[in-house]
Amino acid sequence: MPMKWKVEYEALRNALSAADLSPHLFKRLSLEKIEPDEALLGRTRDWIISLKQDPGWAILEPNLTKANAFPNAYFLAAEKGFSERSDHHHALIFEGFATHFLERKDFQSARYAILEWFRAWVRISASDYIDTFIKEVGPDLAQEEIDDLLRHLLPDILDTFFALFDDPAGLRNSLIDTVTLKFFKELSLAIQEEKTNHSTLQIDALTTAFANKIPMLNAQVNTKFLRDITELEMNGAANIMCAPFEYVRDYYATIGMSATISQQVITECVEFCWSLRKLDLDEGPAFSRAINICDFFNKDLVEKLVNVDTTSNWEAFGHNSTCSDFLVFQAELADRPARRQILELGLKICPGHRNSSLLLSFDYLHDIDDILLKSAPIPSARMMIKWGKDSIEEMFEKADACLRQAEEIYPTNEKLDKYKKRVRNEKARLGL
Amino acid sequence: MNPFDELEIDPRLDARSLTEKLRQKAEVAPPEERERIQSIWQKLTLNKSDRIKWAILAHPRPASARAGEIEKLKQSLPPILVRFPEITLVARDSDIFLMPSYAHEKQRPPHIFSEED
Repeated sequence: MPMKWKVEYEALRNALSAADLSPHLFKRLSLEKIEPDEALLGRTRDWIISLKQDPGWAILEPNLTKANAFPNAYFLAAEKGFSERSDHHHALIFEGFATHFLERKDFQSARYAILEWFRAWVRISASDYIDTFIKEVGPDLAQEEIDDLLRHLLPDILDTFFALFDDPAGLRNSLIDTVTLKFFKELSLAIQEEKTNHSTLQIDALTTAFANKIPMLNAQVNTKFLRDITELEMNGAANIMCAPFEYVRDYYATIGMSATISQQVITECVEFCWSLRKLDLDEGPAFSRAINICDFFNKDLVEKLVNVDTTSNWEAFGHNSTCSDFLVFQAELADRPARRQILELGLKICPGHRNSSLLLSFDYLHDIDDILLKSAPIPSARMMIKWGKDSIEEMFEKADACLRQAEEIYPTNEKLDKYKKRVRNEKARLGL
Repeated sequence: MNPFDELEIDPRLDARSLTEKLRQKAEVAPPEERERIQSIWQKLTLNKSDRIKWAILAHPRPASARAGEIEKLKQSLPPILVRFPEITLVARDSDIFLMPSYAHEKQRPPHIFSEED
């Protein structure tokens, strides 16, 4: 009988104490954004009872009514120490906060809540609290079943969080929600940076699930891109034809990219440009639009190929030819002298690249055209004037150099002989 | 919602105690509530792992932190047990005399009767 007395009265006393303190702590920990309802206060009565026995309570209690003291007071209290029972409450409370914030797209608060949810689970998992709990609640559960349960416990919650993002990559409608996507990326990085000094099944499963989120989303985006590009109608409007390229560009500009995706997009873009050329549509706006969009990926690929020896950009290895193919198309659209720089880059990336060599060779011949155009109006008599002779000689030295370059870069250029003859004739006319 | 939180039951209960607790609740519940309790019972007992998963994901709820409205908790307090039998007070004739109060007097009250008396 005395026990009955104690429990009933203790329950009332604890309920009154929780009703007094919990609303303050809920509000402070939710960054002043959540007012707990009666049901939640009822469910979490043990929270305050447990906290009162923790070293961290000495920091929380005097700050309960000070909104500005949080969340720092909580961080300090966590450093001072919470029991696993209190952290069990914290994990569930922050899970609720995270859901609340994500539903409202309050990403800054959601990031804080998810990180604290994660940290609470990490602290719980540092002890044998969960193991003891499971042994107490399910003593007849086989070890395999326990392992399976722990492996799925936290990743399943993570999935419910991410389900609330509502398609940030626009997999259903092609419209990227860049704000949500940025949050998605930053959160994944933040979790990966969290230091967990111990390894448990549930925490390892959670960190792996976090680490896999972006690669999994990337894979979905890539699948969608490849499907869209395969189903493309080549005689459509430029904006429709280039939509898949714009989609991946917007996605990877937000999430960051790997050489794998760069080479994949560039391969598709080069294929797309060749298809347009075969259909005589390369003069249309789709060609230049696709090149301009995919320049974002090619720049990344170029950088990785240039540094492939010094860094671990091994994913880019072997895609030099595709990269230079793209640069050739880009050079066709560029004005001089940018064109020559692009072609030289193409040859640097892929030495001996046929089309880069051919176009660069022609570009040097184009320089000879310019020289010949300048020299044509000069009367041969002018060569008698000393100062004039020097500058004209210099001009034709440059023409010779261009001829050598053009020949060296692409010896089988069929126009070389014609240009050599033109230069020779002009020099003869001027008496050089 | 977590079934343990929904029915305000201790997540640490084993399957047998849980069944007993839910049976008690169902007995006094109206028909539609009884169906809800039955579906929760199925949810918690069909698969052992599920019950434990829900238990981990429910707020710890020891007996000293039971849920429910505070008024109900007050009503559920057991009656105060009396250690000694109740004393029956009976009024006597002398109780009708009102004695003057001397509380304001710091010294002893004055003699009403003279020494000769």
